[in-house]
Amino acid sequence: MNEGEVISIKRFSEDLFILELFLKEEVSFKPGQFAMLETPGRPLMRPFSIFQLEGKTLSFLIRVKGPGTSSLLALNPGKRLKLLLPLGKPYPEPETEGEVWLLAGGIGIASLFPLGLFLMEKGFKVKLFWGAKSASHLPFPLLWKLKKQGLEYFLSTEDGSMGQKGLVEDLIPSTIRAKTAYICGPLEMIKRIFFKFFNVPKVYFSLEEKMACGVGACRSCVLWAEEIKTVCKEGPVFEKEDLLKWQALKQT
Amino acid sequence: MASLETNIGSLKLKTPLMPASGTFGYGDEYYGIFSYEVLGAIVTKSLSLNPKKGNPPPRIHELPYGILNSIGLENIGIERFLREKLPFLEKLNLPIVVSIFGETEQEFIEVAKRLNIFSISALEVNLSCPNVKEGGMLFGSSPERVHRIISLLKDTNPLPLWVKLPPDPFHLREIVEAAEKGGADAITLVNTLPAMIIDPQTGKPLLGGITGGLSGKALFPVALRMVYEAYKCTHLPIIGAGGLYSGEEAISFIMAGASALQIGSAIFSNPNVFVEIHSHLIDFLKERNLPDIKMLKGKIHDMENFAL
Repeated sequence: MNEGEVISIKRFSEDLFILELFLKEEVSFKPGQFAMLETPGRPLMRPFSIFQLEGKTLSFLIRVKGPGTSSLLALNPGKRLKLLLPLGKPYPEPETEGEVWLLAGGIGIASLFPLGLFLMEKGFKVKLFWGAKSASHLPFPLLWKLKKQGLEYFLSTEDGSMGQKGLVEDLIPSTIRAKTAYICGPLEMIKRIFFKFFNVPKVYFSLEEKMACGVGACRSCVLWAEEIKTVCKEGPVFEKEDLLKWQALKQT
Repeated sequence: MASLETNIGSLKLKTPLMPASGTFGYGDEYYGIFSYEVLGAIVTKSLSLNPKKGNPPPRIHELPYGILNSIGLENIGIERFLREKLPFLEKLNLPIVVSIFGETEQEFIEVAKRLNIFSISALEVNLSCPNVKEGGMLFGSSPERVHRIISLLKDTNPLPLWVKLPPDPFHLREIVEAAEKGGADAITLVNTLPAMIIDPQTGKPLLGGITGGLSGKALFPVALRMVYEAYKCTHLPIIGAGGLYSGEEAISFIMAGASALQIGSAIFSNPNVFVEIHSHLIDFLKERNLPDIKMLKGKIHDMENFAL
């Protein structure tokens, strides 16, 4: 178990913020991995993608969704929180050269941002497609580090307050030239675009599910299919083939 | 240092702390996250004869005062457990308690027979899962069935039997007595409380299994009272479980009559909870110059009347 002391809370909009923690023990991570973070006063820790980690300084990009995330937004610097990290399987590296596309729905950028940085440092040509409900959920200044490296990016909002008006898939050209795609966003988005990307040789999805333990012990966060997999341990990153028999994908 | 050693029948535990079945997987998942030195035993997830898929998601729902779950006893089945999980547990140098489950009496007996292995110290008989249609609480809520199944298990396997019961506040005495007469070696009180939650916006239950089991803080005073009552009607050692989050609550359980304790949901908000409760128990004894935790057991029953 690790512990983190709150350094700062940087708020982007009413319900979007970066929580910066100073870790007691240094750890390393790979993009796509997550942490279970104590949420004061609540019975369950919460899973968050590791957004950035430099030395012992760790940050999470968090959207307020309920009492757990609200309790984190209310924290003051100095507060110590328990956490478990790094957890889960990371995004695998591309197996071939060629374009890599990242598709983020809203807060889904949290796991794709470190992946983008990693891939660009490795010399991959990366395109980011990022959609959200409105500009307040699209903290695009975060992208500066990626832009500096020459990232090509496309933004959309449902209300048209930033980028193209519409959904993230409206940004996608009719011919998908990607050799590898990484997708992180809400279930609704994954359902809409799953088959659009089916012919891309390698597609990886990062999924979100309610968790209690984060380490495979409680069996709460299961991917319901013929063969059950836990999102925390066998995920959160799955290949498109893993999701083919996923019940949630079939339900409308 | 003050002694935290405790006995469950002939089984000696070096501390009274152990995980509650179902919250700790098969024991390997939390290894490395905290020091297992503070544990007195490992208790596995309930195992059935064949693998079980469990209930569809959502399987968990958080409330301010507790957690609802409807995992539905998903497990890898006894054969895979013996092959893939037991070898790791055997290396821990801790008593191994395997929780067993069956939809029928015959299944319980078969599972128990397969576990007649030297490295396993006891079986916890799960007669109280609220999340399955067959077996589960159907067994634990009837004194006749508890008696029958425990005597059958006693006749067919040599391991000590810990009987895990539901938090049924009204039939406690009959059920505990039935378990004792059947030959139980210990009683674990309590499992989760049957419960449900509905989303009023959609009109749908918020658990895939529709109903589930309530654990966490709300359960503590209910469990404490059941340990207190059970202590008055049985000579069997009692393992207290239910909403145990703190050292103070651990002491309360022991004073109510528990010989050992199980920690469940608390690990989901604090993975260090075993270590913290362990050091609280040591400090509590030290501050009072007590050499042995056993001196606190059932303390509340020593008083003839409660001067408040």
